[in-house]
Amino acid sequence: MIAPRDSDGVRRVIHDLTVDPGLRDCIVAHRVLPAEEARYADLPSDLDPRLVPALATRGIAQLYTHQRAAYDHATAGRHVVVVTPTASGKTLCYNLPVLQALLEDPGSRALYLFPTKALSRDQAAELLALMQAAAPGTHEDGSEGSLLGTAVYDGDTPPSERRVVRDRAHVVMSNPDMLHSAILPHHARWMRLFENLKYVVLDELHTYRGVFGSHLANVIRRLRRVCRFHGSDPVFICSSATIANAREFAESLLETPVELVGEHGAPLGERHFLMINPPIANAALGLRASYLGVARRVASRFLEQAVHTIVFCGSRTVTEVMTKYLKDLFRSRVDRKPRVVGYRGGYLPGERRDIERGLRDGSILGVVSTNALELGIDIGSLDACVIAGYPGTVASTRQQAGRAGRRQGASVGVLVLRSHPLDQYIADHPEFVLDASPEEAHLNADNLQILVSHLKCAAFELPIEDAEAAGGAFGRSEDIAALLAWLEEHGVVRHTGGRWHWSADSYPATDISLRSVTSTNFVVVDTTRNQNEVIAEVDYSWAFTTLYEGAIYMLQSEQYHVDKLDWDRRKAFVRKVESEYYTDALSYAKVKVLHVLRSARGADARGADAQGADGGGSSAEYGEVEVVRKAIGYKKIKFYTQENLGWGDILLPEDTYHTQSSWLTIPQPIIAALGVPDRVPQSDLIDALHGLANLLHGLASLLLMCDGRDLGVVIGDQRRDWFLHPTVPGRPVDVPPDQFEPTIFLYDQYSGGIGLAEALHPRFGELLTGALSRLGACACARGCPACVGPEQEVGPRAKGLAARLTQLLLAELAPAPAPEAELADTPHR
Amino acid sequence: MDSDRIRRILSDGAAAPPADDGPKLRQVRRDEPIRRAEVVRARLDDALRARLEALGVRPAARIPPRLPLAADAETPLHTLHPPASDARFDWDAMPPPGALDDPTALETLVGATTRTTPEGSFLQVERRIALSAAHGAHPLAAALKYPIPLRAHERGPCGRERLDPREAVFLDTETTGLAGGTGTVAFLVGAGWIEDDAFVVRQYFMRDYPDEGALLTAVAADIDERPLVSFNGRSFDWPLLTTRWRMHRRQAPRRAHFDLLPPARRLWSSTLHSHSLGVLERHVLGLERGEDLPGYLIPSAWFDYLRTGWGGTIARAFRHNEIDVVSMLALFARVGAILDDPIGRVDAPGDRLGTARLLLDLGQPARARACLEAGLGARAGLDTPPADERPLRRLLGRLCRQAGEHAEALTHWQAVARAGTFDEEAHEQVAMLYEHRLKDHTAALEWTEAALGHLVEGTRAYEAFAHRAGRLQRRLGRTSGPQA
Repeated sequence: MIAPRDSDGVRRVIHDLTVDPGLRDCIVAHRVLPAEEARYADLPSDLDPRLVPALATRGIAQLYTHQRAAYDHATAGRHVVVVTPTASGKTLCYNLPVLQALLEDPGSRALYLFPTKALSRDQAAELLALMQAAAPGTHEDGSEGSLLGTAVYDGDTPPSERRVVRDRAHVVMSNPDMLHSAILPHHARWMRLFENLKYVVLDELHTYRGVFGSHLANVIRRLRRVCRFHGSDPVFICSSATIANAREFAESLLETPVELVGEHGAPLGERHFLMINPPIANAALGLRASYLGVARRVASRFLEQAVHTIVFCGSRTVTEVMTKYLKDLFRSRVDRKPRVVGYRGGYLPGERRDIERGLRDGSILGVVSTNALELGIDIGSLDACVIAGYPGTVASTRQQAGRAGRRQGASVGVLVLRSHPLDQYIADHPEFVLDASPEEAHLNADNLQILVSHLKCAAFELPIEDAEAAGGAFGRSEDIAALLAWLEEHGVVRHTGGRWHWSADSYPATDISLRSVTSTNFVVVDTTRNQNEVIAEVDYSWAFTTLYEGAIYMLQSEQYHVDKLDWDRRKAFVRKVESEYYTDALSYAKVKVLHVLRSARGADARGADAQGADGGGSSAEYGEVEVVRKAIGYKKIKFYTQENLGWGDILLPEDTYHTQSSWLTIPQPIIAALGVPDRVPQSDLIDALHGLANLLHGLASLLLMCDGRDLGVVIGDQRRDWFLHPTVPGRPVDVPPDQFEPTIFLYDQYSGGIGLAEALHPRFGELLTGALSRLGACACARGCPACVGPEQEVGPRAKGLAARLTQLLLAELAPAPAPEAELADTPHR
Repeated sequence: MDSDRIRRILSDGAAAPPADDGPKLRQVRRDEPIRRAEVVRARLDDALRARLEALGVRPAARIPPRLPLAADAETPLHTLHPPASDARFDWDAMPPPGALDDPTALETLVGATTRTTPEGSFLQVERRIALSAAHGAHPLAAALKYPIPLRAHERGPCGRERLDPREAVFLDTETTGLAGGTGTVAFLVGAGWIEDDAFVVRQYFMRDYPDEGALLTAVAADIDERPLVSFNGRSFDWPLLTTRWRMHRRQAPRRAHFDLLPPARRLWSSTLHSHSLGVLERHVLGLERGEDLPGYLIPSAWFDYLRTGWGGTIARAFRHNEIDVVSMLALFARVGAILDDPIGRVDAPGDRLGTARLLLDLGQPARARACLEAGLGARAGLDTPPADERPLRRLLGRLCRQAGEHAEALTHWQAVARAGTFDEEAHEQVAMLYEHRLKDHTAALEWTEAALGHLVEGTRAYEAFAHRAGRLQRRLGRTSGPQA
């Protein structure tokens, strides 16, 4: 049952916002996208005649143009990626060619991969309905069904049904994790599937960026090896949300040419998009009103008018805080309290399913979410979306705003900006989000750790031929034979008869999680009233900053005090409390260069010694680094007032990992040109460096499709003799002035690297140009949170110094007149 | 990865010496096609090694268990069977000291010959054990007397109803692990069959991975389409071999397959807590294996053999495997004997329940019932406490009811109900039998009320009995009403 929607409610609230004296002047952009007519294409002439009436039962007499294009590519045997917004009929893009193949030859098989289990359950029901309409049949028990079958194969599939899925299902729906750990290692049992595999569908392709994608690219290498063994060569049909490099990304994942279907023909209702920059509270200091407060006000307006609303927040903590605020809104109501819930990773599956159902049937009015709901999880469409803080990428912004939108009627997305360089850059350039193409997605299939993991799995699945190892058949990497020799040294594989055989008493896939480089989650145990119940799971890298002793851990806006963290056993023991504050962790990182892979002028400097990079050479490099991370303390922040109530220590061990980084070293000649230390004290330069580093970090996550948290930023020297951090007291600069060559590192915050730093390195020119543009455009006098940071933190000279430094770096990097003006207008060309 | 490193790897690789396998172990030269030394091996350069170590890449998840090699040589190899007349080797014969330096050490130790097929070659060991020989307490020949009835899913495409051991192949494999999947191989396959008056055990052994194709071809040819007998092979050995054949692009024909584990679990359900082959040997067959290579060490024994070429430890896996295969025949005989005469041959009363269940699986309810009845203390003259009889009587009660013998059923259910603690099902059954079959409403009400006295008000069970009590009271009221 779908609750009635109210387009007028949406329009009414938008009107209220635009006349509200407190907000009116803060709206930096209001874009109205008119309703779009559908663009249709005829059904393909070769379409199986049984599919025509089957489609008619679903109300389909014509295809949208993108559905037709996808069909044409796929049936011609070309891999294809279809880029479509939410609710544009993307599933037919793959269901149609798959059904056509199955009707032509019921011996054919297809494999659908979804990033989450929930998605596959949704999709199986939809495909089965089409199958029943196109190829009705009777089951053995006499019930009505279809000659064709589809089944979900995941961790929840009971063992008794697994055999049936293997042998009978024409379309197997699963997820990459299951393919990796249960299907490929048993491929001989899945012979029917692999011998007849016609299509592989990869849905939500954009979610496979970073670590997950780097793993998946290797799983696909393995999948294609196994298919070759069984004599099939499936066509891949991928769907993706809007990203700039959908084709390149699909090609980097599949390592083969892929066709792009980039324009969709689905109809859309009228869409409003507003950007609100909170009002300036203190002009001199450049302080703005809290973005959370403004987001809360806007969301409250929608909810009070009974407009179904989703609020996206940047972090788990903020999600929980916002949920509490919005629930409080209706606390005083006695009857018919509208339901407002939180939704984020870490909730248990049952709880999430309940929320998804409540959103679909309309019984939940408001949901506050992290980007967990960005994915195509079926929650129906909502009417309004409030995004608290720029989510870090244009693609995410559009994806999140796309959660509000329907084929008819008005919908609205509101982006509330923070006092953050990135957000303020967007406030200066609203067209960046409105018009620019979205970002690129990246992965690094040759991350050494990930590659070795999958090499083991591949050897387990089929012995690796010498020719395969030498010819780069396992992906593009060339070191395969050497890595196999290393594995042989450790007795894991054995080279004999021209092949590398798996040679250990173990099942390698069980030790490898596709979702992380290192796979250990923390569980959160609620000890309230001695119930000892597991209430959540937290990723290893988050535990540092959310589960330290003394932290307030928030779940569904309930507060839990972390009493004890058992680091070795990966358990946090918490107790329910009524706290008036939440906690925010502070951590620092320091970086050491291990291995320079590329220097600025594009010369191949691989193998070069880290120490060899002296001040006379280029100052922008890319390579492998060692990162040491430590959480040092936390702040207690009072709800609503954001008062700082005190500090606490975090006593956790250092976390060391290796990853990839791009960095800019400020050489002595530039420091001298700035007048340091003769005219300008070194401490001023350090202030400017902090400001510039933060600015670069923000802008770098604009250039790459990444969450700001995937990319770390640190200032130090290349040997990690010293580093600078604003929250670490006593700035440790006992460096002789003539050896002071500070380096700004931007690094992948995942062990082994996920491809961000590598993609960033050739774009340092664009990055610095963008920084210069932001510094020039910022209206503040001597620094504010929107550029280098507030003056009282960075000092009066930081802004000017940062600008001068940026100019000098740019001149060194690109002596010829660089395409400087470009970033400001169209940063992605 | 960088190209000059690759160039280095490629140029150094050809000249690289074969990997050093450790201080005290020799490199073994073997027959074709297993020539290891000639392999062009990419030598790991230091930079890559350093990166792997720096990144903390783990080559293996855990260290496999392993026997210390030195200790192996001291371990005597026991024999269990007096060798049949044409046996080719004797377990007791320790290799002469020089044999350890002989590249054919394993062949000598186990008396193997090289068998060649178009795909290559592998080692084969064959041993004939006289059927008159005892394996534990009974002679192997006992198996011949009792063909075993098969359940529907065991019968294979031909619908074979009974399995004569003379038609069957007894199969057991030693593998590189228990994890399954395509990366686990059966490096040693043991197959046994009856030929004239002997049990022939043939073992197929991979000296290295390239032997596998020839081995699988030979196994497939030798067992042909004959029915199988295995121990846990339905879920482990046979699917694993099927996977191996598929990996070599072969199909295994479907066939009748009798697995000994499920009946063993039934027949010795109460007397044995574990139903591993070793436990069954000790307690059912009366056999002690002596010094045996434990199963969990078998994978690493083979990996060690691959690395060192030394046959001492892996020879013990041959022995382990042979005992497994022979024990299957002996166990087949015991299972056959019990199924032939369940009343006379089941020792423990508790096992009669499992035996009866097995007979029910086989579609023999009358024999199941007889088996249970024989287990009741009164008839068997055994001193069985009534409480221990409850499970037997419970199943008997159900069987009698199904057969329409209500008075018999009542006896059993009443006995269950009266023995020891309150039994809800028994009270319900007794009440139902009185009410619906024997039409004694007064007795039915008595039993119902007795049950209510044990149950907690408000529970589902209580409500059900209360409902019954109400109905019985109404009926009794109707019949007595007009008379009063």
